[in-house]
Formats: sequence, structure tokens, C-alpha cells
Amino acid sequence: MDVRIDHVRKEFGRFAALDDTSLTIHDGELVALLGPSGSGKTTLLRVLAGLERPSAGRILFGDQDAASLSVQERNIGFVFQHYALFKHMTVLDNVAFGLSVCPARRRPPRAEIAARARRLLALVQIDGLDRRYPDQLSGGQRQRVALARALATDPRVLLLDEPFGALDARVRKDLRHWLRGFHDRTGHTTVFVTHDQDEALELADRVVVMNAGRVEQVADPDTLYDRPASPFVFAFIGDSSSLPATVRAGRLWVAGRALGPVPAADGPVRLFFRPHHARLADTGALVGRVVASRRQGDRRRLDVALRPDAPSDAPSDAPPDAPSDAAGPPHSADLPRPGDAPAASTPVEIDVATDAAPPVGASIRFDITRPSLFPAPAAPRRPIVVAPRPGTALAPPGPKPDRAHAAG
Amino acid sequence: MTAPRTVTAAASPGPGPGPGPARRGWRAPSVIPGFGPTLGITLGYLGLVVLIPLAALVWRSTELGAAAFWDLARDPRTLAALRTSFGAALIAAGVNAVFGALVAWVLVRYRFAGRRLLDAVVDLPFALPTAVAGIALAALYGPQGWLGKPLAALGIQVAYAPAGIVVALVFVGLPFVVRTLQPVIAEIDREWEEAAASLGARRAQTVRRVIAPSLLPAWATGFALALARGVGEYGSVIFIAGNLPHVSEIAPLLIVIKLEEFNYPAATAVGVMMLSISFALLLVINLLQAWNRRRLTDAR
Repeated sequence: MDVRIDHVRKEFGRFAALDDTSLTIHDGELVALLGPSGSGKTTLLRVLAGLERPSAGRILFGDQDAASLSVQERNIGFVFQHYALFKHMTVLDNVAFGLSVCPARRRPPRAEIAARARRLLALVQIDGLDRRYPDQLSGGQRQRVALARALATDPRVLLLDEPFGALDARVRKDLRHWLRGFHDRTGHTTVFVTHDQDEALELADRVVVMNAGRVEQVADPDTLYDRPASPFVFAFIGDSSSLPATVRAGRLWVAGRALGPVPAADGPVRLFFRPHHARLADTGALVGRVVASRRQGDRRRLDVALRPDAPSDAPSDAPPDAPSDAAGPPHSADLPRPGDAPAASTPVEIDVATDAAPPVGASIRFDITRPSLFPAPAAPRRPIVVAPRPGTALAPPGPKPDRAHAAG
Repeated sequence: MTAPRTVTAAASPGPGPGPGPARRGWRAPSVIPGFGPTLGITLGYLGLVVLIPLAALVWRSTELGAAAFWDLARDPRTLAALRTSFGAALIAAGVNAVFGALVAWVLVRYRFAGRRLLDAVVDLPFALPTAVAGIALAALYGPQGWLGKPLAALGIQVAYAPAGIVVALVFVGLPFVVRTLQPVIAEIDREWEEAAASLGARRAQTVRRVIAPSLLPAWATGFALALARGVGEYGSVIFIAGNLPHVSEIAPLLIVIKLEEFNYPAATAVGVMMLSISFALLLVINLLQAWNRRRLTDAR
């Protein structure tokens, strides 16, 4: 049974936690809702569960409009971030709870409830602990009890809120693998919320990236990483750097240097690239100075301050004709804001082989092997007047360029 | 805590790295020092304030002699007074357990205009001199009072009857239940209720199966406190009770009467009886709580 979220909006007071969100979750799918805190992912999960009522829009379970269904009637399994186990009940009673509160005519006999609860505990591999109380369990065990409890009523959809958020790194990793295997075995339609991109990319069939109450992109992990649909997704998933750039006569110009031909219309753009898509080369198009160097895995990561040496070609950060749809989504403060023009000194990150790593302070040249272009960010709401430096020409006015991936 | 005992053979002699073996005769320094002095002060203080007066009470009552004590204990007037005191206190504590829980629930769970004022009102029975409360209640429930008159028309007599005692004890006992339950209700995880609902539990089932059990220990404590206060209450009761021997005379009043007759041994003897019954009641409540706690925390 598919779950369809149809133009759902949810406001808390004047704050829109969900802003016109649409999404379809297919039967048997494992879907991750990924986003920074405050992006609305937990709200979406709670709206699905019926714990919050949408301000507008519809939720459909198959063909059934969920608005007519109370939380109790939705038959969803919800696993809370902190599990919300009933601590005055044993593990067995916790798992049996959903069955024991069934209306009397549908309620299985006592012995069968206990037997089913035990089967579920065996399924989540914590049999033998059924007489314990939640306080006597480890975090990972509690997580499994919560999962077993949610599964007891044979839910149509399983919803997990930050399922691994409260666990330590080791257990987290184990449980992640286990959950994937568990999903493959049982096939429940599952939606989980996470702010951990590794978790989302590793675990989910499809990942829904959310930002400021909106869905930025829905895609499988490969597409999401290799072809991010928006600057936000590019900056949020994986490491990346961004630079202001200009397309002029079919060529990409960065910091006064031509990078190569790109299939994009002329005008200011924003260039994104991943650290491993940079390559040191004596003939490299970009020139910079290494300001920091640190070990990361089997590579070294350099912070490189670009040195524009042909200021007359430098594109303006705020072209006068910048698109006026200024009310772009606000970005969470703890994330790189892809829309921001970096200060002249903001370094970019590139990865190099450890044996070839230049020392800090060295001047280097490098190429970007796989640049991605996005429309230049909208101008600030209150335009900042940028006085052109002496000898600086403003970039020629041009149409808002289309998003394009440079060929290489 | 157990480590320092096993030093003898294995550990290398002399100063070694790691947690140094405790020298014989010295206790390992505790993380929370000061056990000795604080326990000493605690025992001394409790002895001075609680145990010595109670011991004096018991000692004074022995002047009466066993036979006279027994006669007093079987005196219908004494029995009636004890029954009135404990009966009314139990009923009042029960009433407070129900309605106090409701008051606490409303004060914690809902936000409404005047909530803080209402919250402060709960403390009034604490703050008011009990005699003032008694006079106010007597005026209110008296034959000519705002409430007493209509009730009398219905044939219900509250003031100057056992019912009046219960009313007074409900008044003085309310804050105990409310104040004990409030922090515990505030602690209830909203997610418990949401989890229960998502598992299909109706609201009544959630309250009965999830909320009430988690409140139980605090509830029992509040009940016990209200009960203890009710048993010992004097000031507010005597104004409204009518104080008819065998009917609406409470045990503390009986003690006062004995004192006024300079019959100290008899007064203390009634005191000892009250003390024993109160002690037994509190013991039962505590045992129930301990049993409940054990039920909740024991592995297997």
C-alpha cells in the first residue's frame, strides 16, 4: 500500500514547519527523511502518524484519506527517538501492549498475546529478556524492544524518528546493518528520520532531503550524491566547496581564469565541486595558496585560498540584474549556506594524495575535474551596493543561467 | 568499592602506577566525603527533635499502669474518638487523593488564564492558621451559612457532625496530594501517551494502563501525608466538629480534655495509641510502596 503526502502544510503558530510538501512512499520501501534540524522531517513523520494534524493538504494510505483516521485507527508503528518504553512494564508487557488494548472482540486470548510478543522479541533478537524492565536494558536493546512493540499490531507503515540518534557510534553501526537486513526480511514499508547523511545513504532505498519545510530532492543514494538537484543538497550531502563564477561565451570563468567550455548560458553562476574532484596540475587553471592541510583517511585535505590574478575579469558577486525572487529558503545556521558568496579569503577544500601533498604556504595550481553549476544566488533582499573596485568591470548582464553539469 | 581488599599478593610492592592500593587502616577516600559527621548530626538531630519527645511520651504513659491503660483503651469514648479521627482522616485522604490528583493534573497539563493564581491558592491551607480555617468553615457550613443553609434544607448536616470533620480534613490535606503529584505529573513523558495512542490505546486505556501506574508511588506518598496530617489535625476540626462525645469528638481533642483535667498519664496514653495506629498505617503504606518498587525494578 502506497502512502501519499499531497501538498501538506503544517504551521505552528506563524512558523511553517512543513511548507507544501508532496511525497509518495511506495509499498515495501525503506525511505529516509534527511535534513538539518528544523527542516520539518520529524514534523512530517508525526503528521504521517497522526500525532500532528496537517494545516492543509492530504495524506492518503492507499486510497483512504487519513484525515478521517485517528492516531489509534491509522495502524502505524511509531518508534520514538528515546523509545518511550513504558518503564513500569516488563519488556514482554511493553511489546504486548498494542495487542492487549485491542477492542475485546478483536483481542487475541492472553496466552496468544504473550506468545506473539515472545515471537516478536525473538525476531528482533532479544529473547530471554522478557521479564526485564526497560531501565535494565542497554540502549540498543531498548531500541529493539521499541521496534518489537511497534510491530506487534502488524502496522501498515513503520515510522522511526531518529532511530539511532541516542546510541553510541559502534551500536549505531551494527544496528544500522541489522535494520537493513530486518527490512529486507520483513518488507514493512518504513520511513525513518535522520540528520546523519551516512545513515540515510547507506540504509535507505530512497532519500528525501528536506530543508526549511520543503522537499529539496527525492532520489536514490547514488543520484543524490552524484547529481544533487540544488545547491542545498550539494552542500548538505558530502563535502563540497563553492565559488562564484561566470559563464561568458560558453566558457566558465573562476577568479579571473577560464576553466573550460560549459553548456550554459552566459551570466553569473555558482560553481560547486567535491574535494576529490580537484586535481593538482602544473598547468592547472586555478591558482591558490595552501592555508591548511590535514589528514583525512588515505588522502590529505588542503584548504586553498584562491588568488585571483586578473582582477579585471573577476565576476561581481552581486550583479545588478540578479534574479529578484529573493525570498529563498532560509538556511540553518550550522550549515554552509550555498547561497552565500564567500568572502575573498574563504578557502576551498581539495583532496590530494598524501605523498604529493604540498606544504602549507605553497602556491599550487589545480583543475576542477567535475564542476557543477547552479544559478547564482538571488540578491540579498536589501540590495547591498557594491562599489566596483577601480578597474573592475561588472559582469555583462545576462539571463539567469540554467543549471548545468559541465562535461568534465 | 570492592577493589582495595584484594591487594595482598598480586600487586607489586611499593608505589605503582594506577589506582594505588589502599593502605591498611585507611579507608579509601570516598567520592562523597563527610559521611561520618553528617550521619552523626542527622542522628543527633532526629533524636533531639523526634525520638526523645516520643520516648518521653511513651515513658509518661507508663505511669498509668497496664490495667488502667487497658481500661482507657477499651473505654467506648476513647474508641469512638480514635475511630472518628482515623475514619475521617482516611476518608478525607481518599477524597484528596482523587480530587488532588485532578487539581495537580490540570495545573501541570493545561495553560490557562489564572493558572498561577490557582496554583498559589493550593498552598492556602498550608499558610492559613488552622483555627482561622476552622472558623471559616464553621461559618460557611453552619446552619445559617452560605452552604450550610441549603444543605440543611436538603436534610444534610455538615457542621457539628462527623461530616464536618471530613470537610475540615479535606481542606487541610489537599496541598499534600497536589504538591506531591505535581512534579511527578510534570515528569510524565508525553511520548508515552503518544506511543500508547499509536499502538491503538484509547485515552481511558492510556490513563489506566500507562499514566496511573507511573503516578502510583507519589500518589501513595501524597495520600499518606494527607492522612497523617488529618489524624493529627486539631485547630480546624474543633470549630466545625461540634465535639459531641461518642459522635464527633476527635482523639486529639480527647487528649486536650485529659490535659485540662491534669490527667497527664491518660493524655499521653491516648497519644501513644494514636502514635501506634499512625505508625502502623504509615508502615503499611510504605510496605506497599516498597513492594511496588520491587515489583518494578527486580530483574527476573
